[in-house]
Amino acid sequence: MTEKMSRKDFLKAASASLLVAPLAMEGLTKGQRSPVQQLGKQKAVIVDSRRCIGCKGCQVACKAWNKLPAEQTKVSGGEYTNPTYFSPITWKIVHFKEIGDYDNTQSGTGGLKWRMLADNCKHCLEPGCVSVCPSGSLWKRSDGPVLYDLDRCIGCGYCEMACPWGIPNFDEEIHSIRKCTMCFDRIDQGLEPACVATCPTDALQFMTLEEAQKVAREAETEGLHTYGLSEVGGTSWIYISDVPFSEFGLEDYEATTQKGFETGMLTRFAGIGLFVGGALIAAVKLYAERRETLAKEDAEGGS
Amino acid sequence: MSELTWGPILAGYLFLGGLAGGAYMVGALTDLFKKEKYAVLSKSGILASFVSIVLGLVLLVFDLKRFKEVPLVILNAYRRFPGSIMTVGTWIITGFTLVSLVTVVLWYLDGHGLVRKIVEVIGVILGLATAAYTGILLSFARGVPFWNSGFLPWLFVLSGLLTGLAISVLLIPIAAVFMPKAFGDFKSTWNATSEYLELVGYSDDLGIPMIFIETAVMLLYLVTTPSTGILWSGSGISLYFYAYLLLALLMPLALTYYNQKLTTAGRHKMVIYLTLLTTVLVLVGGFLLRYVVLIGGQLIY
Repeated sequence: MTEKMSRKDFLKAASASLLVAPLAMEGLTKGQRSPVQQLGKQKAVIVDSRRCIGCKGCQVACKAWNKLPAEQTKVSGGEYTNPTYFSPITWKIVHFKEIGDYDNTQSGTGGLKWRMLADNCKHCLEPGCVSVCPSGSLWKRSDGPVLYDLDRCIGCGYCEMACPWGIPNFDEEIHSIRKCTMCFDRIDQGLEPACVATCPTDALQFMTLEEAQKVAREAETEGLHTYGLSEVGGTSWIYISDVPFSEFGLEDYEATTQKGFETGMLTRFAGIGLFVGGALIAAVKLYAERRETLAKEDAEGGS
Repeated sequence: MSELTWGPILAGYLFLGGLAGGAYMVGALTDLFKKEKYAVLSKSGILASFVSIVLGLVLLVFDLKRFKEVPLVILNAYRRFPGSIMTVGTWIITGFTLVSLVTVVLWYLDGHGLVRKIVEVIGVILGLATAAYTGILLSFARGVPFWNSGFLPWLFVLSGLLTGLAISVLLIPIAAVFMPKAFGDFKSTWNATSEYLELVGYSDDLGIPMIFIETAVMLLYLVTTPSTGILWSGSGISLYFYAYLLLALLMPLALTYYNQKLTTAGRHKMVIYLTLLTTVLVLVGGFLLRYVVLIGGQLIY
């Protein structure tokens, strides 16, 4: 009897654990996503274009730390930016721009300004890529980095379409999207991201988000241009420059957050739907009535 | 972006999704409002909707870059409801596929009129959601301002309705000729020319207003969205855009007008040939619309 009972108990326990297992695994993944240690305040990086000398040390450091292979580069045509676009193995590029100042009123350098800007995933405060990801592969960690789970990516490409800067890219070899991780593995060890640690001129500076926003606001009061304070609702990497960011091919995106953007899109869709629906019903009705009248007239005329 | 992330296969999926939603709406609304007067058209529409949504899903799944390595990874697409619009869409399309299958079965088990109509009401809502979703999916992609329009989903819905109407009209002779035993009612409608012509007349009454509204929505989309100049400015994609305007809007209008003259003149055979040609043009034009919007957007940004 006792043996019978214990067998029953065993079966009960086994079936219960089968039911609970997926939940437990879900809990485990969630646990991984919010580590036990305190993540602390949101981290950020200031990228000051005025200090950049174009040494590309940050590009190399990024490749080295993340073990990314070299890119098959091509002549990029008319500029020194190389590679010119992000890929699964190129997470950081350095824009090189010759900016015309032909009336020679500002630079005094023969009518030309040389400007460089280190560029990578800006780790948006409300990331579009995370917002559209259907599988939950992409996520934003509470201390700033926008990360991804290699096993969850389904390869739909939606994040590539949702990122204004074409940052996430699908890696055919490891079957997942890949992009800059803000060196979260270094941050967890109390280190700066690899690119920041390498920069010889402090063009890249690691600090808290509050501090970075303060630095950027101060720069704005000095008449400098900033990128990332309000763009797409704010980003964790904030850029400063003495020339407009359109010179680097960085578009002037709306200050709306991703949630505001999506709600606005749905509101427009619904509003337009009322008109389109009304117009379609009215048009179908009117057209049918007109055809009937014409048919009647024809019939009367014919008889 | 170095290459196209979403290519022609995805354009095919967007086209089939719109067509499936549209064909269902045409079929079910005809059944609900016309009291089985055009039952063959309803049946044809709902059958076409089921076949095309299944085909569309096949295209979609094989276009997922991870599907070949880890097929079950597809289940991850259901995870973030309602956090991601794509997950919402995945659930909608799954529901729509099941409802359209149930409707097809109910059409074959005659005598379930009320049940079928209740199912059809649900199906119409899901069909509209499916067709609109193919556009909303694009409108949510912040990286491509070319798609960020509230008009785009409605453009796809209207095109879905038109292509759905076209496939419903076209499927009747196809099924009657190639599978006469399975589709006896299609065959008898097709053989009795006057019955088929009556369906064509009804579909014209729906199609012509739809073409006008689609043209209006297309113009509003072009005017209100940045960079749409690429479509008519003589770039590579312009050719496809002009082909869309010609095949999906202008020629069907002209042919339908001409057909009405032919009908009055009693040239019924010619009317049928031209009707079938029109349906094919509308279908090709519908695909071109998705292709132009999908590829054009990625060429700019």
